[in-house]
Amino acid sequence: MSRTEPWQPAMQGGTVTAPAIEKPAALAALLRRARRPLLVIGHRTLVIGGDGERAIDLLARAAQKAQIPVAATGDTGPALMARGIEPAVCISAMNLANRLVDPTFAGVDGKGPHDIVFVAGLAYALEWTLLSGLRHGAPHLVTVSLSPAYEPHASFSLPNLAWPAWRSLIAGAFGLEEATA
Amino acid sequence: MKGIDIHIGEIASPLGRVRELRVGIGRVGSGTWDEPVGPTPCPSPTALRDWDRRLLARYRPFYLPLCDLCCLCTYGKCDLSGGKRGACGITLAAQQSRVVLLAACIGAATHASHARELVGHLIGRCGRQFPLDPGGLAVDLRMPIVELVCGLRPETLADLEAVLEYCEGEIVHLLAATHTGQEADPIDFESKVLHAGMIDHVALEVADVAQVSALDFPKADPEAPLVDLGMGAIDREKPVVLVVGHNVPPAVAILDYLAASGLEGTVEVTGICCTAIDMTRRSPSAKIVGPISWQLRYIRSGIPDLVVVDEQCVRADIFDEAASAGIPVIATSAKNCMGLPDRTNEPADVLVEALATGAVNGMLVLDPEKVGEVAVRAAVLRRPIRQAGIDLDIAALASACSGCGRCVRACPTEADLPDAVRAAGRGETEALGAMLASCVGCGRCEEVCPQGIEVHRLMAAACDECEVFAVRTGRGAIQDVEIREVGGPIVLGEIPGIVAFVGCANYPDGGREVAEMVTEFAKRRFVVCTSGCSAMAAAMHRDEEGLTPYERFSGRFEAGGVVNVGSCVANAHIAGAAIKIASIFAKRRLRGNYVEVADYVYNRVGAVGVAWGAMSQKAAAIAAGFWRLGIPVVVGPHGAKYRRMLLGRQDCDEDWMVRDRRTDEEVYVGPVPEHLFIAAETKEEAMALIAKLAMRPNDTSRGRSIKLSHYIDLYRRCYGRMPDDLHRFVRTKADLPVMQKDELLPLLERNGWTERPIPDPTLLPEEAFQ
Repeated sequence: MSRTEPWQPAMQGGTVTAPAIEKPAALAALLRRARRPLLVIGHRTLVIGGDGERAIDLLARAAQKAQIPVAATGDTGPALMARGIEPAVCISAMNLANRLVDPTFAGVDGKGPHDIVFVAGLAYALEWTLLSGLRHGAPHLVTVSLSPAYEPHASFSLPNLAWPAWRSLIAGAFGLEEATA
Repeated sequence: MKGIDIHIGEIASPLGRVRELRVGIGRVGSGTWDEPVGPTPCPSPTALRDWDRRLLARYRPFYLPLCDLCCLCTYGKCDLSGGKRGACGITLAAQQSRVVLLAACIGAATHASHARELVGHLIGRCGRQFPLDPGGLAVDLRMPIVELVCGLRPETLADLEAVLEYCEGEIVHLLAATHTGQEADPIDFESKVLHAGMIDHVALEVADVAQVSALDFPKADPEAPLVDLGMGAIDREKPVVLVVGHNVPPAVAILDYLAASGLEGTVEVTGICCTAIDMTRRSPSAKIVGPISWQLRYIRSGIPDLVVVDEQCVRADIFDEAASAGIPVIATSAKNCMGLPDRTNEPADVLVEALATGAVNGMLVLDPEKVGEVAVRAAVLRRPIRQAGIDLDIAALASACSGCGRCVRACPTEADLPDAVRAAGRGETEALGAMLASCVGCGRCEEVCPQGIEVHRLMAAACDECEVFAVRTGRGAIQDVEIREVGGPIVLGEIPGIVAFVGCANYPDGGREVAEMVTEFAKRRFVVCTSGCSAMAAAMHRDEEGLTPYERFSGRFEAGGVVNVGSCVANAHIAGAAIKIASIFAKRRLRGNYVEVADYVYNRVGAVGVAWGAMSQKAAAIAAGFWRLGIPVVVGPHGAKYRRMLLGRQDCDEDWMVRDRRTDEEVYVGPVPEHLFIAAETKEEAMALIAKLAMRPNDTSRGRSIKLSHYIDLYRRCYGRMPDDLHRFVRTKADLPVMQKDELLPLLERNGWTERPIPDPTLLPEEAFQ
């Protein structure tokens, strides 16, 4: 499969589609650039995984390492807390997105508007539509899909990736390599 | 004066013979109804615009474009992204709301057309003066939606024609507004969406009251019979007819023909989708196979000897699928002719022979009574030559899987099909068979498989479906006395809410989730309503004692009841119940008095709609009808593909002010209900949302404390901690659940909470009240 066609091929993107983040360094650069990042973690991170590990395990460690506030959507809150992450907010993804389109929204932690929103693990179609809403409604935001399924409506998206490649890219970008070796 | 209605059965004249001549003069009148007509009888698309704008100021549209382009005229395609306007000047937001309006118009037109055909058929069957009777002595307020919207009180089938004329006119106006160069303001489009939804509800009520009255369905009966659901319910030894769709006259004709010809009990009449529910309302001996998503698996099973399709939600490839299984098809709707030759006017004997001998695979027959006879006779003749379901070599077929993953990428539920198919290829079919429970039956996995593996067919073959579930058939309206009993507790909040599980079967993880939510809220003493495919899904779940929710809970409209109102068109009774609370309990005038009653429902009746698998344009229209009444709707994750949400901002205090009728002051009431339309990601999230959205400004402290206890409990279950927005919902300390006061007060104080009054809430100025 093409790495940058929508993971569900019928869900074609818009007139502009997300550049794919192929290397950890590119994602790490986005992380460095972020002044007020937010990481949205959806319920499919509890499902996606391999070799006894789940995506949520890695993303919890990533959030901890990069000290990014986390928005837990779906029912990921308890799973995150069990991994030592206290979400800044537990909220429905749609409700959160509706606040993010407001450039004056003070952020999930009240510390100021977010500039980059990383999203991972919503149901594909839900993430697709939500990112479309942000692309059109929140031009002030950079959105980055960290799901292992290419999301054309994000500002940047990981390509379609199998578990080992996804794991390697996330671990590399967040500097988790040593810890996971 | 009811006007003049002349009926001539047959008359011979020099000009020829005339049969069934009917002449009506005058329109539906008020009879003895002395209630004054309110301000908006039969409102135009702009008559309720001010009310809509009040709602839309709180619940601003959040657009989720499926496409950046507009392709509707030859200026296009126009790129509307990045703030660009199209060649006609339209914006992306307006284009999205325009598409939403188109969907709502399609839905409303479908229900209005359904009602029109049904009323016409029933007038032919029963006569124009046949009385409307949806509930016998138990229902005095027969058509609350029609009375509220139209200011009319229909008494006969013929009276419904005037109501439908109004609906049809409004739908034409609304559709016209989507033409290039007409409406361009998103909020005006959204107002028209709400209008389309309201019209849709009128049409729903017309259709269901007509069929309940004329076809002797259960009349507001909490004890409507429990009927069989599931493939295991079918006696496969008998001839089997399958009916698919929504408009019940052909199915009724089949049942009537069986009864009239003494064949009752010798032929299995089975159904999929709403027709299935409605035919069990006619005869409990009919069997519900399952929801819309079961078409492929049932037809491919080879069990039916004949398929009859009417309208709505019928698969476009049903004829091809049936032909592959050697099953002939009778199409019966002018809206779904399927390319088949029209043989309506040929003798029944000829049609039976053509179908029974296999001379043809299908035909169009537009006379329901003829369909009844032909379907039964042909099925009986075809039974001996039924092709046994093909015994598939699952392992051999599945072993062709290359693991490319295209099936999972095409699957709406993102099911991990490749692993299961490859396991089946090794002879381990259990995982593949288990996936059928969450399959939406779309068949896209087969369309994309480069190896040509019929994944859905293998899945069905790997799952031995022989279960039988009990579902209470549609009871129709809610009795006036039930409303009197629950009206007070609902308005005061002491019954924590009405939750209606409605709509189609495009579930994110199977119908099991609907059944679990129904059970959860019934146990919590909400009034739970079901309809359509969701009513079926709710039945496919047993508790530890082996009971389905319909066996476990009462069918009364009461706290802890599980009330199946019926098919899609019976959704009218759910909206009708909310309106009846305003009328029967609160004595508000209904007649043409939409805004006052909607304001009442919005501020006081804690009702929430849940369309967990909503798929269709009809579902969009039904939802829009609830929105205009101020009733929020939660959809599953696929519902985001309706392109826009209607969301409140709980963090914007200024959005949540009402006028206190006692003091005429503006008062903050908190975000109740917080949203009008929202897609939830998971079942757990949906349940926390439902509990929250059931709160209303009018809740008493006792009621609010009950509602808060449910919200806190379901929120903690989903999110693992206390809600962070409690301070927005607590007005006084008395609102706090008693057992949690000590735990909650410090949380409130941390958020700077102070006590505030509980008003007599309204969004309207005083002069709006009748």
